[in-house]
Amino acid sequence: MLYKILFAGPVGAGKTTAIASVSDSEVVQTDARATDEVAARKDQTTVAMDYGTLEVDDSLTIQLVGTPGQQRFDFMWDILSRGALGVVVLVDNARPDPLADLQFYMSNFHRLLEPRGGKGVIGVTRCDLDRRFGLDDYRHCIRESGYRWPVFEVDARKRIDVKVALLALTAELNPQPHRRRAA
Amino acid sequence: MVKAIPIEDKENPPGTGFARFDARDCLLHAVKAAARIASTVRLEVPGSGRVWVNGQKQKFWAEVSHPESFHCAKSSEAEIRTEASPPELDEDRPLEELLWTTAYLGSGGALLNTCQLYDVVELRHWPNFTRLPHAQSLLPLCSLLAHRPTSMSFAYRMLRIRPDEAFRFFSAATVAGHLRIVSSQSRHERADAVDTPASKSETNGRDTGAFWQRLFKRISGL
Repeated sequence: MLYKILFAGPVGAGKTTAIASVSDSEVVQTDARATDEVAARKDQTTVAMDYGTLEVDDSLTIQLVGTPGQQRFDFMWDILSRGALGVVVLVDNARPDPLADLQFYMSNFHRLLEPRGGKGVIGVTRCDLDRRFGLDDYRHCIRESGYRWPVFEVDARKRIDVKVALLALTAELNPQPHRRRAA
Repeated sequence: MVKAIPIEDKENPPGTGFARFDARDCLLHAVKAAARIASTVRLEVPGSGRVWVNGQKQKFWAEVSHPESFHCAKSSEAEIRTEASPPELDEDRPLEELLWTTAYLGSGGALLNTCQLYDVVELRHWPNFTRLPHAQSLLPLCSLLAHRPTSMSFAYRMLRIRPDEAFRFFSAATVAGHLRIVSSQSRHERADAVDTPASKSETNGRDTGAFWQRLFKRISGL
């Protein structure tokens, strides 16, 4: 069986790095040389998807799929969201308006995933580079938007951080505890 | 290490008692007191480390060499003094993280004496688990409490979480402000009876808990 977890968020938030931190297989990337405003941030950018895998056992594999960050590739978001269990939205704290980024990606992927029971988790990256916003700002923004997604500081290079985000997403996705009734 | 005392009273009759601890006996008391002061307060446990707390900014700075012995110190071991300004250390952290860590480690698996297991509580927001001590079993617990207010007494048994881990969480989350009491009920009023049927959206998706348990176990092993 193949299932899919998405990694979404703006350009440079660490989606490719996060997938590489936990993937059992070498990450397949679809990078192209950046020629627009992205070139100021990095040489290469994802234009279609990143792809890694998490082998659960012989009969179950989770596909880790990174979506392109640029909005002009948003048609890929629809395609990649089909059949996805949930999404880890990574937000770059060092971008000019990370709270607007949060709202934008959270609402878009909530719209794509929620009808099929998909859930989301927020990872705030590059917190060491910019301290204008703390987790409380993100929590407030999430609550104001009417969501209850978990939010964590994440260093995409650290497996343990990405692991916490994925465990939280799995806990959110498991419907059993939420619906069990008192005996 | 702070001594945890088994409590057996009207709420916890003999045989059902569990260990509780008093914040006044441990470093948590000093941290909470420092958090209420607008200026910078330095707390030092000789040989273990020191933190500077600024209640006005709700920040702290740390130079801790032995976290376990620092956070598990008795309040009497801490040397406390006010300072004119924060230290010249690079990274300040939110004060809630110091409160969490001091309560979580200082608890030693006992329950803070101000926490009531039969109160129905709701998770206001998730602790920043990537930067805080925790057990993996607490993630399902947080998910449950975020979506459905429940008594801790019911929640940790239903999720089969070890009592010491649940009590550490309950103590730390209460002190750090992550939990909100929805209703306060005694043992005999059966707080868990407020559990309501799941909404339709909660029952969508993969039905078998076994699927998610397999996935959770695999990610836990990363």
